[in-house]
Amino acid sequence: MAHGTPAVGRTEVDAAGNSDEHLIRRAQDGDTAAFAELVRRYQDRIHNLAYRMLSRREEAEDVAQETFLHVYRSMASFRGERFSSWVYKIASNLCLDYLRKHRARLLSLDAPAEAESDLHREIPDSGHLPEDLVTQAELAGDVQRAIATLPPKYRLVVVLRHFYDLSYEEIVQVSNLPLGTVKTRLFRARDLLRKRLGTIATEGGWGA
Amino acid sequence: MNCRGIRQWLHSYLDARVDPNQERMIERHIRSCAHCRRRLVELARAVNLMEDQQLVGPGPDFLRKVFAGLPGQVEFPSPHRLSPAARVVAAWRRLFG
Ligand SMILES: [Zn+2]
Repeated sequence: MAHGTPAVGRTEVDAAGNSDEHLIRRAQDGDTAAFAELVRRYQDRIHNLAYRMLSRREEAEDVAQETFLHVYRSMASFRGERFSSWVYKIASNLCLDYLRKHRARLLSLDAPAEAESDLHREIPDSGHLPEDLVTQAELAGDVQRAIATLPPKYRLVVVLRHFYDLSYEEIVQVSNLPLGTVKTRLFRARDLLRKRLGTIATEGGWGA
Repeated sequence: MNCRGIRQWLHSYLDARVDPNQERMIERHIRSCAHCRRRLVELARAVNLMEDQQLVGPGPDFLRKVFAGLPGQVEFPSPHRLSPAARVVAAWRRLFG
């Protein structure tokens, strides 16, 4: 993935040689600094996952916080699996639960609109910015609004594939869905997104 | 292979999940079919737009909020026990936060 994000499916090792799995074992032994390190490592990725699913930052932060609380509470049961798959699985389930519980409210049209206003909040004085930065913010809003139109079960699969670069098999692990279902939902999601995003004109064309 | 048959293959092709024979079959079709070629270009553009997006992270006080929400009295780890990067962030927050 772009922007120097650590590859999601791979195990990160820090300067001191601590893998995620090493840190979770230390956390299981009551080392709160090791738990803090895991939160620090994953907070952006987990918050982003929730943001992509819910389109709202405040709710995304609540669900991200709930994810780490869940990790903390259930870490005794963590075994063998890759830590990243485990934490994505927890976050994915919490996002889908959230969307089920708050379906009516999130269906209101202001949810996707917030995607763009959020971005504009980060650019306080967009009048003096170079053209391409504004375009990036508009594109980001278009992308998030398009994702928000997908049914949640399609949304999750396409987010894991294209925001986290997970393979089909890694998505199977995280979502607990059969491989055939992962592919069907991914393909269907992309067919829908093609109609909304495929014809957006950007500088440099599609291959850039 | 007709257009309807090729549609599912376009997705496998995008994910590089085709063998050399399938790849040749798909490429032969999209060379001769403007409709499927456009479809593939549009799918690729949608994918590229998603993959170009930045991670949207939480607010700056997220770690502290997580610790405040843990059951029992879990002490927030003092900065010297954090990683070098987290230590810099913690020091910076003390000074300017
Ligand atoms: Zn065709």
